[in-house]
Amino acid sequence: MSYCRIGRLGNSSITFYKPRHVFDINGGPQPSGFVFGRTADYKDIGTLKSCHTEFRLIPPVRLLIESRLAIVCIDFAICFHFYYTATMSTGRQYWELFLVFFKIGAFTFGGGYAMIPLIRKEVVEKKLWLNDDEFMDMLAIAQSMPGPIALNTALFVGNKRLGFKGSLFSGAGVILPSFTAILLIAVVFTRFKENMVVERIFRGIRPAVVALIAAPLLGLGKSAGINPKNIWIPVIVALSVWLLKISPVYVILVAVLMGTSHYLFVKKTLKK
Amino acid sequence: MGLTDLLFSLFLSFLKIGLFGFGGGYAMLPLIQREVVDLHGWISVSDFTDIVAISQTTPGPIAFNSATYIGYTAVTGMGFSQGYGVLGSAICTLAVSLPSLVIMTIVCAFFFRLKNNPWMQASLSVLKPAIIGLIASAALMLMNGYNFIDYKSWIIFGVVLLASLKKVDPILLIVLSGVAGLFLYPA
Repeated sequence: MSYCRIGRLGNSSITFYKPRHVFDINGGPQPSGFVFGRTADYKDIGTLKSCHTEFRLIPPVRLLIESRLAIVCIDFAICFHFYYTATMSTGRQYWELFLVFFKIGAFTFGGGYAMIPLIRKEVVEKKLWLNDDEFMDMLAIAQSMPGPIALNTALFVGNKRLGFKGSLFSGAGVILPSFTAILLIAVVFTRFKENMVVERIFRGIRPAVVALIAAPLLGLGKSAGINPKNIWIPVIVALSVWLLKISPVYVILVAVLMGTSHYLFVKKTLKK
Repeated sequence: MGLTDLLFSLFLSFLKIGLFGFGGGYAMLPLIQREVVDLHGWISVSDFTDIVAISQTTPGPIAFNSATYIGYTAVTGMGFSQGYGVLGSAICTLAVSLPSLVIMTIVCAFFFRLKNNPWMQASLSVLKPAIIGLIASAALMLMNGYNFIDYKSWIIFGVVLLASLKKVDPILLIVLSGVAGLFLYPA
């Protein structure tokens, strides 16, 4: 107990009192030399007869100097932040949820995986709505459920913070920017499509788009855990959808069935 | 086909896309293409590639972008006014996000039981490689005569593929290939 802690907030503390350790070593009591954050020398502990601590209020000026001014300021800032969010009206919280995801929706290009770092920065680092572990768990779930990953993430965060109504706000936030942008483009583009200059530009862009779809396959394959044992799955899926024109709906259903029946089979053989 | 029929079948198609669109982004492309281009013929193959290109250069996930764009073009392409086009794109965007809303609400309620559920892990062990196959098929389906008109297209494809593997920004690559198209294909 080097110094007294009053009002623990976050990881720092505000020191109001200066303790005065009084050691009774080999005869009369001797005040220890006070060192901030550290108690006196204990090398004579064997001969220590009694020890008690007196507290004396530090003058406000010394408090500010000794307890490191910056930490006090941070403490008051954190205190204010919690007070502000606790007293903030619920309407404002919904609005805040909407705005955060509106920002995420408006500033990520290419969608999906490009959005994840931005969502993490806003939700984990800035707003402290989720911690890192929760974020990773949420991401795993959002990716394994159908629908766009960005929307799933937004809905999850919204629901976790303010329930179903919260997820409506966060979902609307992430959808609206792309909706308005694409609607404008659709209105304009359908008029200019017959234009020869536009057509020439898109003749160059179209093969580039195919390359952009194909390029991340290697990296994605690695993170999906593809190995020589299960490489046949993506090959068969690609060929059956591409050449045999089998609907991806059936491919998904068959994949789920195969995974669960394999698990059932493994579980049965393990029991035997 | 009447307007309500068209809007209703748009709604159903995009509901299906939202419900079976596992893996997000590119993995949804074969599903969207099958529904919108092959089954209903609302847009052409080259239009579809253009949507992917526009999605790359505008904010937001591809699923929303294509839903909004296709909703508008399908309705106006049938000869209805632009106001109905906006209605169509709103319906498509709503339909594609509705399954997510329902599923994520359920997921949030059972999150901790779902996280380590062996059944879910088991289905994911096959679903994840299958999604890679779906993305590959999206690329293969788009390698057709509409998008690759001559050897110059293949040169652009090769260069962009290499640059993309070297982590060059996709938006920059699309802009540059647009400029290349302007120079390589004289009027």
